[in-house]
Amino acid sequence: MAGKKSQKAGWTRRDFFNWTLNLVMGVITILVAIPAVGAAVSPAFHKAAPVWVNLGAQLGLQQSSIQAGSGGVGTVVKAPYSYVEVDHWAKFPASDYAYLRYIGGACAFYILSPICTHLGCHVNWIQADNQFYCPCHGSVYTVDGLNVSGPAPLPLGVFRWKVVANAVWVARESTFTHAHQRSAKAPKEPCLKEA
Amino acid sequence: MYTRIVRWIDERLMVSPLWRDMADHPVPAHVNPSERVSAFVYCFGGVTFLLIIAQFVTGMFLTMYYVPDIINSYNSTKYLMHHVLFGQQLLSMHNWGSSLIIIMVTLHMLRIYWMGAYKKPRELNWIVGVTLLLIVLGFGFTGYLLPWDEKAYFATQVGVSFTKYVPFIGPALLKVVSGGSKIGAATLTRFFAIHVLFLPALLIVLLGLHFLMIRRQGISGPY
Repeated sequence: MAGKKSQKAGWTRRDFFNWTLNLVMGVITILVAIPAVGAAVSPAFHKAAPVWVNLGAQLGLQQSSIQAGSGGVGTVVKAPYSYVEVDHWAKFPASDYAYLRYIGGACAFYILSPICTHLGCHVNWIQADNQFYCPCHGSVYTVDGLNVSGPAPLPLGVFRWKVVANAVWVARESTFTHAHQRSAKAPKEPCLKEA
Repeated sequence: MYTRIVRWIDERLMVSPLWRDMADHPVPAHVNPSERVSAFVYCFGGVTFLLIIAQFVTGMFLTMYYVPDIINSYNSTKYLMHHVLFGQQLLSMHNWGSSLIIIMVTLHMLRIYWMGAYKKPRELNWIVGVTLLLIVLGFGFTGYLLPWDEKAYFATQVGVSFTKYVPFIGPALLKVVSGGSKIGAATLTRFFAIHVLFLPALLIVLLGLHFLMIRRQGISGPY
């Protein structure tokens, strides 16, 4: 306790009980503190897993992209999807869409996030101009999602995707792999297709 | 280091004497288990206080995850149990602690009763103590509903149904206690508010009175 120095030689009965009491109280405090602090810092140990969502049948998506384009070349189409948003314990139905384009070859699809990299509005695809326009502050992106005009600081996000049972699934992720980073990393497969 | 901090505070506020007064407060020999082992019965109140502190701490941390809402309360409790680090332990400590408090507080009351320690001049402290016992039972009853599982729901339904047998005001009281004509969203928010705000405030005030009175009047006995 405060002030008194315990000398080994002159340990009194009172000193002994004092230290024993402190020790026991310390152990109890630690036993309560471990789960309490553990629960509080628990979020630091959680890893965000991507949410995979179903865009629909591969063949149907491919045909709609080709039909929207001209001369057998696919163009950008809206691919709507609905999913269950899981926010810790809360679950609620949500829906969104991706911009999908059939590009042929081994890659097949190039799937872009519709979220503007400026402030998060959904961008519009304008077929006549072959470009994406953001309705909020006028950012412009090419068909490949590269930002060419306006305040957008980065290209549109490219979704990772894969085929499961003839359906196309994309990974919704908060951190996008952006088109320019993508092409530097793996320029041969800009579509981020996964096995 | 430690003594320097204590000295710095004492130069300004002189808290050490207050602390020493509590920590070095002598207790009579008949209360000291090292004099007579059977004196452990005098520990029940102190043990209850220790458990109450643990309940405060675990409860505060549980509230980081718990949501008092009929859609999310069950799911948030489940999330706490399965996805939060030590969440299951935290919840279990609060759960078991509540049962232990009721056991200890009952033993404490029985000790007072059998020793006749409630007699003059300690009647007021007895009244405060019995009120504290009722508050502790109130904590148990309101806390039981919060996970919003089957057991909680139907136990509460049975519990609140007793109120309708109160003469004259029974049916109205039932509606007040359950926050409506059935156990639902309003019952849960009501019980949550009582459990984490109203009862703790009352408990702190009455515990303060309880301790002030015991210091003023001293421990009863020896017999």
